[in-house]
Amino acid sequence: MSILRLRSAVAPLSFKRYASTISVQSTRSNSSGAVLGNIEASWKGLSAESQYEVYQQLEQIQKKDWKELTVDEKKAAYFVAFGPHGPRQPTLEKGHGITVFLGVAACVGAAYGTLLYARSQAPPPPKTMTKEYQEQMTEYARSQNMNPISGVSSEGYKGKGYVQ
Amino acid sequence: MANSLWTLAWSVFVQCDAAEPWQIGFQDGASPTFEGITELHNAIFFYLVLIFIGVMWVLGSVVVNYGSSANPISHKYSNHGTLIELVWTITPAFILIAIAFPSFKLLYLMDDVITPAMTVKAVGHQWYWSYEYSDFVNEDGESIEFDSYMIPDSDLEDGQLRLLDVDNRVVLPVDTHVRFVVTGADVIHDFAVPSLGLKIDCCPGPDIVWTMVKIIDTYSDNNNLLNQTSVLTQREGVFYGQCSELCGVYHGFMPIAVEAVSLDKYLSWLDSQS
Repeated sequence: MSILRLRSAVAPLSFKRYASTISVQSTRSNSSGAVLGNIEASWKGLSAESQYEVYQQLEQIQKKDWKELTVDEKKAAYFVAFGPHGPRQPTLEKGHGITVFLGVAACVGAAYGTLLYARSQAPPPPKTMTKEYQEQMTEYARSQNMNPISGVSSEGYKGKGYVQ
Repeated sequence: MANSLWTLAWSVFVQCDAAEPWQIGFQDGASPTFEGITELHNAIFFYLVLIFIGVMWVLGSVVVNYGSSANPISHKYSNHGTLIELVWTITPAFILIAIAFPSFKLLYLMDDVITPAMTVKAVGHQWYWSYEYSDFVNEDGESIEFDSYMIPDSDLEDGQLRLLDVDNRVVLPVDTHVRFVVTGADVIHDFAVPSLGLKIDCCPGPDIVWTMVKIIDTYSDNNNLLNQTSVLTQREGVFYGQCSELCGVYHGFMPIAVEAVSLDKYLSWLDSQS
């Protein structure tokens, strides 16, 4: 969150740098309405000087009552301040999610393969894992009155006991 | 196909046995302490459900009302709300208080060891338990002492529980207030039997354990020299536990088996030990 704020704070600084080196026309040109209405598409094509001009122009516009602004002006003000350009340019291309998903799936698959290999090399399970022994365990537990309220020794118990 | 895959996954992952396979709830309790623990659990679970519903409602509302499609710029301007901050600070405080009171009540009730009828000393070793019934002596004046080792896989028979059954069980009479004095002979162990509500650290100390037990008897107000706890077993049965403090490579192989029997059987057992 703090990085985002830092980035958004950096953007106006870059405009200030231009302000010291170029002359700026702060008056609203006839084509400004068209530029502001299409700002999201045209922003990247504008030169740095033009971008700064639009920025300054929007600064002036926003000094007015917010309710008097047109929808295009509001949208443009939001886009210039918070839009995905400059330091807020998305770092990941579209379709990157699929790449990540496939990479994760491959890693999970490799891990599962390793697990299967390890299991194939492991000694056999203990004799307590056989069904016969597990049935004996159930009887043994009942003979010791284990879990007599809700478990294996309870009245009307219908579970499988220790048989897995 | 799906069934065979499931069977394969099952056979790969499920290679262990336990006291009750796939049990996710408590074992059946056998002491007032354990009943208190389950009651506290249920009381806290009530608050947990309330908190879960509240948090999910807040999260759901935020997702629905303030998602990027529904309200793309709200997060730029919605950054402070005194009322909501008061609500989400004070409410948890009250919930914590409501949980803390019954919790402390149970804690102090469990901590009190009042007029026990007998004492059993349990000493944790790497990696077995030894027990001493210091209230009972034989004709030679020696108290009953024995070690308790896990039965290895190769010696299991007749359905004995793997990793839980031992060669010598702790035998206790039912409906009798028993004090356990615990310590460790080498490293810290933990004497834990879930269905009896027992769980207490066995901290090693100098080799004056027995003297300390005498001191405890003499100065009952100053009874914190050794860890001690008490249990009142309310029904006959066998109750299993395990060392619950990581104590070395065979930490998982020093189980505890407590057998609660009637007073007659207990006296017979005592006779057989002397």
